[in-house]
Amino acid sequence: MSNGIYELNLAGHTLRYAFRRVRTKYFFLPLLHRSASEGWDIKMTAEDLARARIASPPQYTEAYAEYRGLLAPTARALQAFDCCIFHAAAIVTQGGCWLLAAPSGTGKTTQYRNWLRLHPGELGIISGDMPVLELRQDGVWVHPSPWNGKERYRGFEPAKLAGVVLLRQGSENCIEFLEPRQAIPPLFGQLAALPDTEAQTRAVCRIMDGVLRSAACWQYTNRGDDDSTELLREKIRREDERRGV
Amino acid sequence: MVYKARSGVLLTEVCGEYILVAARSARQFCPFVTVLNESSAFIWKYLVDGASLADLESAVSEEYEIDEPVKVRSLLMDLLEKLETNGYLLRMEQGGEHEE
Repeated sequence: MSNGIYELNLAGHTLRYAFRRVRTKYFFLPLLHRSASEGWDIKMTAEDLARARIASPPQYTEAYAEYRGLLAPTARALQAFDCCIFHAAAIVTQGGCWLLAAPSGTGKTTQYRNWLRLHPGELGIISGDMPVLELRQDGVWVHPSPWNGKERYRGFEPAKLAGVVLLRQGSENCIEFLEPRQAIPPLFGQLAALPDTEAQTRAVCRIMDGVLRSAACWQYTNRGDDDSTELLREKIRREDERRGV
Repeated sequence: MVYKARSGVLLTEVCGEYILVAARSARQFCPFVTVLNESSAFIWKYLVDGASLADLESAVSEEYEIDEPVKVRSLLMDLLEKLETNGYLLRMEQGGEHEE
């Protein structure tokens, strides 16, 4: 059942959605607006929604399943604009945006929460889970999205990418600089949706090239404790200073 | 015997590194991303249109000025085996296709 057309502006690009469930739109607020258009860019098929429903935990509604299921087609649609959706917590320091990237359950939110608690007021956030990366002439910019994880941590303003920290759980706290050839596989692994076509594939490659050329990339094996957050904070502070921001 | 790159796999460069990236059509057969060294990327370009072992040996010997056929063949076979094991490469009889 179509319930009107809605627009979502992501990284300055407008996508039009037709939702199959009435309540799906609430998960996209406040980024979503009613559209005057009758056409749409993205709409799940009934089969895709059924698959999304099966993939979701049973306590989740169909509207929530649709909201989650729209992530991949949105990510692929954005690839036409040299944008991609990236699985990371996008935090903001004085130096810009740092992506804390890791599979779910590895400690992205833990680091963010520790930092907020240890140093209140110091840190901003753009997205707790799936920010949009946009390749521009002057580097990569990080934008909000409606997919922000179960805690719904989100911001409203974009920031320029300063660095990427690939998190891993471990018994010791150790940060290592990654050379591009070491960083490429895990970075590509954090794309919210793998590209389907050659054009989409080339777009994500351009974006990842932009990330690696303009931002520091580290691997951080850590315990997730307060010491690990203090070490991360100090490392980022020094990098921001080195870059003169 | 002709060696041919699987269609849907792109060779591209990211931050100075050569990588193979599999579009959707290829991903059921091979990994999404693999980093290559420069010589492997050089050989891949011949595999896109298909090449025999003799063609590859000749190209590598000339490009890298190696006058040791046994060494060249050994290096090539090692690379081709890895690419085939990872699903990036198909082996075809001249004028035919290798079955999956």
